[in-house]
Amino acid sequence: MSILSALLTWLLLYKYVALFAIVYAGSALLPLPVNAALLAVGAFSGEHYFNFWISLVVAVAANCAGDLTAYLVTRHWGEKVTHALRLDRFRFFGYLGEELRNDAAITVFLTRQAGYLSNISNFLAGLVEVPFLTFFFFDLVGNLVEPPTALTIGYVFGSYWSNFSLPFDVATGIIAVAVIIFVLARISRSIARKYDPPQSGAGQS
Amino acid sequence: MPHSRRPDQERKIIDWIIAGLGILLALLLFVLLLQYESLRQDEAIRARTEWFVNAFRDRTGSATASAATIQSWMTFDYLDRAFGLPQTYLQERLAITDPRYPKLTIGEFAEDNHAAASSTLNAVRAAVEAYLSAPPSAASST
Repeated sequence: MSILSALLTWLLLYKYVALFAIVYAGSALLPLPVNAALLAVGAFSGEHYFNFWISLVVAVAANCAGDLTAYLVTRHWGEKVTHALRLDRFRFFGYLGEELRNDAAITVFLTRQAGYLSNISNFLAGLVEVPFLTFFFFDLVGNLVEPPTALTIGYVFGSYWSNFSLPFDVATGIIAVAVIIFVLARISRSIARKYDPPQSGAGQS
Repeated sequence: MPHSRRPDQERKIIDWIIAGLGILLALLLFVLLLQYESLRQDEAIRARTEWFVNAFRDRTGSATASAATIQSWMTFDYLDRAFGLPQTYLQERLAITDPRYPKLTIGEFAEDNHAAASSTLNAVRAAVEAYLSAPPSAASST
């Protein structure tokens, strides 16, 4: 039995408790097929086995709770991890931290739609100490986009929900790659601004 | 102040990575476009979309799922709800004695009977199709 089949069985047996557990675990740490599960729950809602609005509230709450868990873990223990892994020796890590703090709003919001990149960004946000309220607000706003989209697609297309699982994953992959490009481009520009040669005539040493 | 070459090298590496990711992004967009076309041309998806639009406008009817979409991970109580079956229909039809019924999956039912999952699945699908094709009985309740 595949992981997804097992998750779907749990959803049918334990409903909202299973939904909360699966979405929470997926957003906190584990690489679970959460999008596929949400598509399925949307389809189950169309068949009145789940309530759409209760499912939406549960999914958003679980997503936020999982994201905050990952963020707070690295926020609390991040410095020790950074020293243990000697990440602070790498200049790129410094650039990345600075960029994530400067563009926290947009990166937190966009990575909520970016599949597994969301998990990585939760840990990084805590590690580089993105302000809590900034993280929480844009995490909540971002989580009001992806779960409802998945649930709605499942609701509309019913038993054909599985046809949309791969396209949905590809779309989140596109967003993930676009966010990484954005962050790297900003870092590249930041390096250029810091280390560009001074204008001639501006003084020399 | 001497200018370090390292930041320039770092920028070059980052720019090359960006270029590679740009190519990956283009490929993913192409894949998504192909999948979109495939979904658009799928008869079942198109029929479902039309049904939904009509149901949304007229607020009438409910789409009955096809028995072909039944999978081994589904529970019997879910099948009852999805296909509008009486709660004991499948239990009687398939002679299910497991006390966990209806919170029992088709896969678990197959294991109870030491039967192949595929043959049990086909039996369930046939039972559901038989119910759907028979005229509904009067005053059925769920």
